[in-house]
Amino acid sequence: MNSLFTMLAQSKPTFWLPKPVSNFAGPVDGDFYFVYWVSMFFLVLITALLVYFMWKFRTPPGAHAQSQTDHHLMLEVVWTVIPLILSLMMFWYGYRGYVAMQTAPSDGISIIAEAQKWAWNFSYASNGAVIPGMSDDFNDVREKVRSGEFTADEAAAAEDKILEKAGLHVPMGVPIDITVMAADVLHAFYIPAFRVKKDCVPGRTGKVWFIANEAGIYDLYCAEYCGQGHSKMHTKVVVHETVEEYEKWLEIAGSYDETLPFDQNGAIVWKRRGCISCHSVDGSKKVGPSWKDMFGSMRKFTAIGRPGELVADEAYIEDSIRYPMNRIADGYPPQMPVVKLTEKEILWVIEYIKSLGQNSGGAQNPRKEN
Amino acid sequence: MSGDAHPNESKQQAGHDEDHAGGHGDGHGHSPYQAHHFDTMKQQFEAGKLGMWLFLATEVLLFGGLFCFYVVTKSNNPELFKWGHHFLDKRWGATNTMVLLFSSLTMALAVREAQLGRKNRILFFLGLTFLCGGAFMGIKYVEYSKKFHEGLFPGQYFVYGNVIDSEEARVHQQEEDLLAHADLDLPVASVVITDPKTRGLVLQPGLPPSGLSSSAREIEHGDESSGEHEAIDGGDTPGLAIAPSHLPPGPRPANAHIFFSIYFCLTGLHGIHVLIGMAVMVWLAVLAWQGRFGPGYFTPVDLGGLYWHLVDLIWIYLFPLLYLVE
Amino acid sequence: MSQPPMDAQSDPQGLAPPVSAPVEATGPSYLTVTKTISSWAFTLDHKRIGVMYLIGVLLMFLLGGLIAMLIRTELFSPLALITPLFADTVEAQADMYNKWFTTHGAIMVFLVIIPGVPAALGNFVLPLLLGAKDVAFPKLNLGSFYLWVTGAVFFLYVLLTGGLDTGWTFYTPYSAESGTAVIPALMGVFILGFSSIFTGLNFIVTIHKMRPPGMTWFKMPLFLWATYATAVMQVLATPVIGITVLLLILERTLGIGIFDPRNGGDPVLFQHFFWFYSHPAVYIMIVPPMGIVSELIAVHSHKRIFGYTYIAFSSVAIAIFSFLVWGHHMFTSGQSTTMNIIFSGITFSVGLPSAIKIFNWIATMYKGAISLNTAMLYGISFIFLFTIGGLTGLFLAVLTIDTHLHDTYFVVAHFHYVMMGSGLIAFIGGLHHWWPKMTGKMFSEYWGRIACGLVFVGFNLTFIPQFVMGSLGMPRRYYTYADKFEGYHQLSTMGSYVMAVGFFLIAYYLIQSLVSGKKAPPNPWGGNSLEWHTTSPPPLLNFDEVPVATDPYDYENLEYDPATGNYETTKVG
Ligand code: HEA
Ligand code: HEA
Ligand code: HEC
Ligand code: CUA
Ligand SMILES: [Cu+2]
Repeated sequence: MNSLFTMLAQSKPTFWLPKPVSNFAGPVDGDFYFVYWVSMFFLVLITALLVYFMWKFRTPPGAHAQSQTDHHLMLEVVWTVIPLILSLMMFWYGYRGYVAMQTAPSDGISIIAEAQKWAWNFSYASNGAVIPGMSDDFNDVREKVRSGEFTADEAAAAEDKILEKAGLHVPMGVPIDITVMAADVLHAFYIPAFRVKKDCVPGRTGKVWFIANEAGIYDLYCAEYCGQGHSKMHTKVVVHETVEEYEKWLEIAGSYDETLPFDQNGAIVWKRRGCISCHSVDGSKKVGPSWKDMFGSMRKFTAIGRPGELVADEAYIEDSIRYPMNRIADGYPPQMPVVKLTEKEILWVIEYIKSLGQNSGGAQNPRKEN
Repeated sequence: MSGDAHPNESKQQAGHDEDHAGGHGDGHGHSPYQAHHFDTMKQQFEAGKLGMWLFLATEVLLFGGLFCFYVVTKSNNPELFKWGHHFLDKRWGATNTMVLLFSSLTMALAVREAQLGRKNRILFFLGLTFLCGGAFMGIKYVEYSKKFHEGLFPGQYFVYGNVIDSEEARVHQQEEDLLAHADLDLPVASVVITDPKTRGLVLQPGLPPSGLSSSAREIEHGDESSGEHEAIDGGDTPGLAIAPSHLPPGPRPANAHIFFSIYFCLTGLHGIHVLIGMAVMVWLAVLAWQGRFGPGYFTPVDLGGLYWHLVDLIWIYLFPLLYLVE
Repeated sequence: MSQPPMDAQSDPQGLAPPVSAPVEATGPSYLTVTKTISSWAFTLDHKRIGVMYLIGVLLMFLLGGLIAMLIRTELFSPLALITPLFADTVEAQADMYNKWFTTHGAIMVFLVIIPGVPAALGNFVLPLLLGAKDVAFPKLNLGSFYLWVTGAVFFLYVLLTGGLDTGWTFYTPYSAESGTAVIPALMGVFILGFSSIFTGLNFIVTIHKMRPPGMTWFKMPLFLWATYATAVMQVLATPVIGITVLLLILERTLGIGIFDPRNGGDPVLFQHFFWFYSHPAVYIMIVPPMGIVSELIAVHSHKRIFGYTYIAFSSVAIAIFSFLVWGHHMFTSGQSTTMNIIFSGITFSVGLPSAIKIFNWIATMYKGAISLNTAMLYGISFIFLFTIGGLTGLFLAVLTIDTHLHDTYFVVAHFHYVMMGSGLIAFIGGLHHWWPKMTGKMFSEYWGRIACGLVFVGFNLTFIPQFVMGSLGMPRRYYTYADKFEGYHQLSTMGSYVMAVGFFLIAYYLIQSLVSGKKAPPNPWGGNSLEWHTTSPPPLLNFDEVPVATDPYDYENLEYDPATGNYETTKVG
C-alpha cells in the first residue's frame, strides 16, 4: 500500500512538495501522500455530508425535526474503528521511515555543520577544512536580483562564484553523515529537497544522514528561530556528480591562499566565518562594534559585573574572539558566539582589523581594570 | 480561597439577599455563614473542601516542576549531589523535619478543637503551630545565612570564594596579581575568565576543536597561559574571613552552582509557602478570637489545616532529597 | 453507560420541562440592577464577570489581529515593506518583525484563545446551564478576572517598552539572552496562568457540587462536559507553565543553570517543560469550542444531539490523552528516538475522540430541522475547518513527515486552522448564539451571515496557501523569504484582508445591535437547556423561579411564535 504512494510520489516537484533528491525523499513523500489521500477522503466526505444536510434539511424557524434518533451503536463503532486502523497505519509508516533516518551507515562522509548567529560553517572531517555558508553573499545576490541589478543568469553566475569556496558540498550516491552543532542558541539544519531537518542545540550534537541522488544546487535553511538574522541564515547545498569531483573541490576550497597578505586573508575570514553578520568594517554599528578604527582604541567593557577598560591590542582582540563572554563591550548585548577560529585565522583577523585603521589615542594610557 | 465561605466577604451580594430571602424554599433558617448561592451548609462545606483539594493539586504540580529539575539534574550529573550535600547540615534539616511534623500534629488538634468550638484551645494550638512555623523559618535563616557567607549563592552569583579551595583561590590570586601588573606584556585579557571549566560553553563534546594547533600560538605570544591557571603560582590564599564549614571530599564538579540553584529554588519556594501558612494561622486566629468556629462552621480551619499538612508533606520529601542524598 | 432519555413521552426521570407561561421579566436584569461603575468593577455576579472578560478578550483579539495584519502586510513581499516605517536599519527592521509575530502569538494564545471560551462565555452560561445562582466561589472568580487584567497589563507594558522577540514559545537559550522585555512577559504568563487555574478550579467545584436536583452527569448539556474536561486540564497543566516561567526568570536573572547551556542547563528540558503545559493548552483552546459546537448544532438543528455519551466521553478522553503527547513538538529537537516513537504513537490517539465528535455532529444534522442562522453557520464552518486543521495535525504526527514539515508554514497553517478557524470561529459562533441572552438584543442576521461568509472565505484564502508553501519548504518566523514563495504569500495576505473586513463587520453590527437591536425574546433559537428558561437578559440571580432540570436536548415541546420570535414550552410530558 505504502509503496503505491511512494510510486505516486514522483521524482519531480509536485504542487505540494519540492523536488525529491535524497534517499529519504521517496519514503517521506510516500507517507505524505498516504496521509494526504486519507485526509482528502475524509475531507470530501465530511464536506459533502455537511453541504448536503445543510441544504436538504434547512427549514424556516419553528419546524420540527423529522426524527429524534439519537444514537446508533454500529455507526459509532464504524467511525471509531476505521480511523483507528488508518491511524495505526500512518504511525507505522512514519515509524519505519524514521528509524531508517536514525541509523546512519558507518561508511559515510563525515561533515560537521556548526550553526552560529547567523551563519553556517561546515567542517569536513577528511581534511579538516572549515567552509563557511556565506549567507550574506547569497543575500547580496538576492538583493541585487530584486533591485534589477542582476539578471537571472548573472545571479546564477554570481552564486556559482560564491559556491566555489562556500556552502555545503556533498557527492552524489554516497551516505553523508552530518553532525550538527550550535555555538550560541538553537538553530535547525533544514534541506527541504532532502526532507531532512535537525535542531542544532548548543552543548549537544545531533546527527543527520542522507544520500543525495541527483546533482544540483539546493537550499539549506535555518528552521529554528534564532533571533534577528534567522530568515537570512540560509545557504546552498551542492551535490557533485562524483566523489572525485567533490574531493577536487574540497581540496581547493578548503585552503586559504597563504601567500596572500595577512590582512587580505583576514578579510576572507571575516566573511567566511560569519563575523560579517555582526561586525561592520565601515564604522556602522551592527549587533557588535564595528572593526573600523578599533585597533589600539580604548575599549570600555563589563567583566563579571565590573566595569573596566583596556586598549584593544592583539591580546585583547584574541581574547575577545576566544572568550567573547568575558568582556562585554559597553553598549552591546552579550551575544557574540564562540567561533572557533584557528590560530592562523585569528592572526589574520587581527591584521585585518589593524588594516582598518589604527587608533593610537589609548595607547599611552596605562591599562586599568577595577 | 476558603474565604468564600465567609459571610463578611460577600458584602456586595448581601444586599440582594434581602429581596431574595424567601427564594430558597428549604424552610429552615440559614446559618449566618452560608453564602447566598449555596443551598445548604453541607453543599457549601463540600464545595470549599473540593476546591481546596484541587488547589493543593496545583501546588503539588508547581513543586513537581522543581522536582523534575532535581531528577533530571541528578540523573545527568549525580556527582553534583555527592559533592553539594556536604554543605547542608543534616542536624538542622532533621530538627526542622521534627518541628514541622510536630506542627502538623498541633494543626490537627486545632481543627479538632474548632469542630468542638473550644475557643481558647483553638487559639492555643494555632499559636503553637505558628510558633513551629516560625522556628522552622528561623532555622532556615541560620542555614541560609551560612551559605551566603560562604558564597554559596545560586547560579551565577555562586562565588564560593571564602572557602579554602585551592583551585579557586589560585584563580583569584592570579587575577589580583595580573591586574596589579597589567601593563606587562602578559596576555592580560585572559585573566578575567572566571573559570572556563565550569562557566564556559562546552562546544564539541568528544570532538577535537577544528584545527586548533598550539604551535601557531607560540609564534604569536610565546606563552601558553591563556585560560590556563597552572602557569602562575597563586601562593597563599589571603583574607579568608570565614573558616570553611565543610570540605567535601573529591574535586568540585563542573557547574557546582546548580546544586545550590536547586537547593535554593526548592527550599525557597517551600519557605514562601511556610510564610503564607503562618499568615493563614494569624487570620484563623483572628476568626477564632471572634468566636466564629463551632460544630456548625469550621471550614476555614479545616482548609487551612489541609494546606499546612501539604507544606509539611513537601518538606518530608525535600529533607531526604537534599540533605541525605548520596 | 446511560443514554439520555430517548423517549419524551414516557418520562421516568420526571425531567419534562415545566409548563411555563412565556417568561417575562419581572424585575431588573443583571445589566440594569445596579448602575455604578463600582457595581461592575466589584461585582461578584458571574454574568457581569463574563461580560467584562468578553470585552477584554475581544479587545485583545483586536490588538492581536491588528498585529497579524502588520505581519501579513510585511510578508506581501520579500522586501522590507512596512517595517521601514518603524525602524531605519535593516537589523532593527528584522527585529521589529520578530517582535510582531511574537507578540501576536503570545497575545492570541495567552490572552485571547485560552481565556476566550471558558472565562468569557463559560462564566456567563455555566451557572445558567446548571440552574445555579452563581459559580461556587464568586470572589475567586472576580479574582481570576483581575489576574487576567493584570496579565494583560503586563503584556501591554511589554508592547509599549519595545516588545518581545523570543517567539511565543520562549525557547532557551535565546530567551535567556534576548535583550527584549522577556521578564515582564513571563510575569504576565505566570499571572495569566493563575487566572486560568482559578477559573478551572471554580468550574470543577461548581459542576461537581452545584448541579440541580435531577441533573445527573449524563443529563448535563455537553458544553458542561467540555468545560469540565477543560477545567481539569487547566488545573493540572497550568501550574507547570507557572513554575517553568519562574525558572526561566531565575535563569535570566541568576543563571541557575537549568535551561541555558552556558550555565550548565539543558535547552531541550525547557522544551519539555513548555510543551507539557502548552500541548494540553491547545486542547484547553479547542475542547470548550467543541462544547459550544455541540450546543449550536443541536439547538439550530432542533434535534436531539447524536451520540451524547460518546461526545461526552470523547471530551474526557481528549483531556486525558492531552497529557501524554507533548513530545510531538520536539521530534527534531534531539530527544531520543524511542521517545519520539512513543510520542508519535500516542498522538494519534487524540484523533479518534475528535473523529467521534465530528461524525456525531454530522449525524445530529441528519433529518434535523436546520435553521441556517449565523450561529449555525459558524458551527458548520467549525466542522469543516476543524476537519482540515485536525487532519493536517495527522501529517505532523507522522515522524517522517514532521521531519520535513516541522517549523515550516505548514505548522503555522495547521495551528491557525485549529486555533483560529476552529477555536475562535466557535467562540464567535457561541457569541452569536448567546448574544441575545447576554444583551437582550437581537443582531442583524443578514449582516451576520455575510460577515460569516467573508471570514470563512478570507480565512481559507489566508491559510491554504500557507499549507502549500510550508510543504514546499518555507520555514516559519521568516521576515524575508525566497522569491519563489512570493505568490503564495500574496494570496495569503489578500485573504487576511478579506478576513479582517469580516471581523470589523461583525464588530460593527454587534455594537449596533446594542443601540438599535430588536428586543430579544427569552428563547429565540429554540434551545431547551436551562439558560433559555429565563429572561433575556437574565435577572441578577439568574432565575425568577427555582428552575427544575430539563432534558437539554428535548426540542419536541417547543413551539415557535412568529409574533414574538420566541420558542415557547407547550405541553407537559
Ligand atoms: C487548538 C489547538 C490545536 C489542536 C486542536 C491541535 C490538534 C492536533 N495537533 Fe496541533 N498544534 C497546535 C494547536 C493545536 N493542534 C499548535 C499551536 C501547534 C504549534 C505550536 C508552535 O510550534 O508554535 C501545533 C503543532 C502540532 C504538532 C507539531 C508540529 C511541529 O512543530 O513540527 C503536531 C505533531 O504531531 C500536532 C498534531 C496535532 C494532532 C494530531 C491534533 C489532533 O488533535 C487532531 C485531531 C483531529 C482530527 C484527526 C480530525 C478529525 C477526524 C477525522 C476527520 C476522521 C479521520 C481521522 C483519522 C483517519 C485519524 N500539532
Ligand atoms: C488564537 C490564536 C491566533 C489567531 C486568532 C491568529 C490570527 C491570525 N494570525 Fe496568527 N499566530 C498565532 C496564533 C493566532 N493567530 C500563533 C500562536 C503564532 C505563532 C507565533 C510564533 O511563531 O511565535 C502565529 C503566527 C502567525 C503567522 C506566522 C508568522 C511567522 O511565522 O513568521 C502569521 C503569518 O501569516 C499569522 C497570521 C495571522 C492572521 C492573518 C490572523 C488573522 O486571522 C487575524 C484576523 C483578526 C483581525 C483582523 C482582528 C479583527 C478584530 C476585530 C475587528 C475586533 C473583534 C470584535 C468582534 C469579532 C466582535 N500568525
Ligand atoms: C552574533 C553576532 C556576532 C558574531 C557572529 C561575531 N561577533 Fe564579535 N561581537 C559581537 C558583539 C555583540 C560584541 C560586543 C559584546 C562583547 O564584547 O562581547 C562583539 C565583540 C567583538 C570583539 C571585541 C570588540 C570590543 O570592543 O570589545 C571582537 C574583537 C570581535 N567581536 C571579533 C569577532 C570575530 C573575529 C568574529 C568572527 C569570527 C565575530 N566577532 C563574530 C557579536 C558578534
Ligand atoms: Cu539560525 Cu534560525
Ligand atoms: Cu501539541
